[in-house]
Amino acid sequence: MAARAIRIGCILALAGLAAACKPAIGDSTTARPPIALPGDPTLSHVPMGAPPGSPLELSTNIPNPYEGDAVAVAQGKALFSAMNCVYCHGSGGSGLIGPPLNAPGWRYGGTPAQIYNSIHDGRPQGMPAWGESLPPDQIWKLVAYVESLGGASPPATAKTVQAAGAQPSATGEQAAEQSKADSAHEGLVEADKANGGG
Amino acid sequence: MSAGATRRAVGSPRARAAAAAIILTPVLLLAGCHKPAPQASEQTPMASAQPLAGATGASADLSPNDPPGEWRRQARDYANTRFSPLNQIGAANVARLKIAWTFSDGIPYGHEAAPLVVGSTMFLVTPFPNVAYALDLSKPGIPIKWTYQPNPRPVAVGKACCDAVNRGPVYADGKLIFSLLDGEAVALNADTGKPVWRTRLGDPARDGMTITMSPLVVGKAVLVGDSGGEMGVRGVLTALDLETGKTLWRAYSTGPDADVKIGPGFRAPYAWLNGKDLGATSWPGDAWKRGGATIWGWISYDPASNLIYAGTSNPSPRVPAQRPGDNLWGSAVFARDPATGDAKWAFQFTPHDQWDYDGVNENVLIDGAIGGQSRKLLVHLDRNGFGYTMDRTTGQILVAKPFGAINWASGIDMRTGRPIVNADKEAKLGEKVEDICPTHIGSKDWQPSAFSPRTGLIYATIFNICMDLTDHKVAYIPGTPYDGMDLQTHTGGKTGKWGEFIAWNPLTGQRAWSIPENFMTMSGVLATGGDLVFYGTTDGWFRAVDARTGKVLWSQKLSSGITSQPMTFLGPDGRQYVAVETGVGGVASQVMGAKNGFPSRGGDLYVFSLDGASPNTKAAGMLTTQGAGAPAAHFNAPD
Repeated sequence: MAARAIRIGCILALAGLAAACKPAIGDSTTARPPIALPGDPTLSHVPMGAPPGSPLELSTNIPNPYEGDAVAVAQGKALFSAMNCVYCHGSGGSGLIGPPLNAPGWRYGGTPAQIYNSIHDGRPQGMPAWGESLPPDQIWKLVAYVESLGGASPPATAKTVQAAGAQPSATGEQAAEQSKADSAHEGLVEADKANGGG
Repeated sequence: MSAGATRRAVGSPRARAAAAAIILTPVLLLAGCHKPAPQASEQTPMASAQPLAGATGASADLSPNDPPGEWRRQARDYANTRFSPLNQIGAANVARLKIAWTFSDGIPYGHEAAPLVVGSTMFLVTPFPNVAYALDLSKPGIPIKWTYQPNPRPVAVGKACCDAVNRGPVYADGKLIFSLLDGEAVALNADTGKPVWRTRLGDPARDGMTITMSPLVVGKAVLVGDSGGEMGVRGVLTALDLETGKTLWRAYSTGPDADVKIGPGFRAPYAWLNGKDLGATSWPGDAWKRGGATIWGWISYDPASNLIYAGTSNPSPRVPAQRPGDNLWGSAVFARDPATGDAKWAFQFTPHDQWDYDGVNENVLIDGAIGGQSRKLLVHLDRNGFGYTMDRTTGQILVAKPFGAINWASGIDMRTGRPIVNADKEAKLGEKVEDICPTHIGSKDWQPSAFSPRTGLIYATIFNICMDLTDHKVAYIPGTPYDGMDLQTHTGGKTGKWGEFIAWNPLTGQRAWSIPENFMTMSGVLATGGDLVFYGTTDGWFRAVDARTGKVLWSQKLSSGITSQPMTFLGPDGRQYVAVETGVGGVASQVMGAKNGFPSRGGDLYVFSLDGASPNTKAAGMLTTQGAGAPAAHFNAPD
């Protein structure tokens, strides 16, 4: 029922009242302490698409504030449907018009902060900029749901970055895997769910 | 057979082709200068649209009667027959077809167009980013004359429901005209490739509108539709001035009569289609404003009655529970005056379309006798699985029979034209409805059929696909999918075959013959004066078939699957060539892409001729940098 309430709240937001969504989500989480969200200056320095193991990944060392929060994942799933994400990215993030979200090989990076920025800012090949209509906590919940689909990268930690810097070969296998996934993934999507033409 | 015997067998027709080249050369030079087309009878010794023994008796007006060796619009003629009178290649020699030359555009999106040939130039327009090429057919290697990069915005790629496709250009008045995925129509000077005008018709970033269809030119009107039935885009047909690109008129598919251009001259073919503002009142509230019914398919034109015919897409959202009513004029066809846009009649194939069946498929204009009476006909193989043969002057249905395996309706009520819907197959909110046939893309999608006036048959590639469908409510957010259909596809029937190539008698609504195919068949069809029909499969086979018997006479496996439209032309050397693009994509890849054995994407034009001969060559593979027969010793010369 919680998911249903969120969806109704968000449908109201579609009438142009983005704020209407926020109380609906807030209502369902009032029992929990407020969560501190990373600020824009931090997120704006997150590079797009840095490969795992790259020293650049240092700046993506921002975990999802809702990490491990099953309620947030459920709320994110409801948003994924209510905001029509599902009809571009496919059921369960399997991909359709837009790229799949359930596998590695991200055009603009797959760490939580990179996914956040893709949702917030939009991307050139049709991804809308949801930062204009969704508040940050809802975007992080969408990120939590996307992470739950299994394709996202973990946020880099200082330890792995240091290891990468000292021993590039240590992450070579991971980078190769990422590169393979990128080429399989880039741009074009096949999925057994389809639109009708046009 | 010995090599010597082969050479003798090959030699004689080649000599005849050379003789034909000499006769035809002046005609082709004239055409290259864009002079008015002479009468077909003066053009060629091979115009051959006469019916054969055993034909159905159906015929067609092949206006504007372009030079027989040319292909100036996607359907070749206004009637949308895709019939070429060329007959150098026929049943007796088609097995000698070999690749003459190829051209790759390097673009991995679905290829759904045919190249055009005017004079000694071939024109191609690619899928996004919609690059236009002019190729010189008179020179060895078919070099590029010019290239035009229109640079449409990439945002459109993520708004097009079904891949970043383009269904090809049209040539008229010395201009090459085509649409851009991001919502523009473009006219280039066909000689230079320089833009004459560009007109923006919509903005994908704002509301998800794109354009994939091929414009048609009738008189001074360039007719352009829109795409985005999955995004809540409102369907509209726009006429642009051929000289300037300025808007002459716009006719919407939904809304009040004034917007739809329904006026005093409109005659509804059935009583339920008669009434004021049905394009608005057959919807809840103002849902018609985002009601789809986009115009992304084909336009045909009847010069005798001066009417154009264009179908409309599914109503939006795809979930019918959110739009009670017939949802006019979605999944319908309009007959309009090309000069004013005024509707003369309209008919809705699938009222309150619950399955995304659309009404965009091609309307082939033919003449034939039904019930002993000669009629002006419109043949339309709808996605909903019924083959309609209608009176094109009134919109009344004369024949409506299933051409594929369907279960959503048991038939068409001939008193009203409405389908008799099977209640078990109606879409339901939040509940899975199993095994609805056909699936959302229908028994046949946009891929156009061909008609041969020599056999009187329609030829089409069709599907044998059903779906399990679960509907979900969906909200309208501009620029995002207004969709709600969650579906899984499977093959219908017992054969396990996903595709089929059929010959259809449009006067009786019966199949003449069919060829089952393991994979989806989603290519256009070419019919020729040599009594051949050509089609492709999504697993990459290009086939030539006897138009009378359905016997496969030649097959060639190509690099990728075929979802484009084959065509044929006469080269400046007097030879007949057959051309087709590979590059599977579109909904074919969405539906079958995950299946074992489905080919990868591509983007190659293949051009075939007898023995693979091409300009300055005598046979396949003879071309060198110094022309035919010159020694190639400077390549990889040994030390």
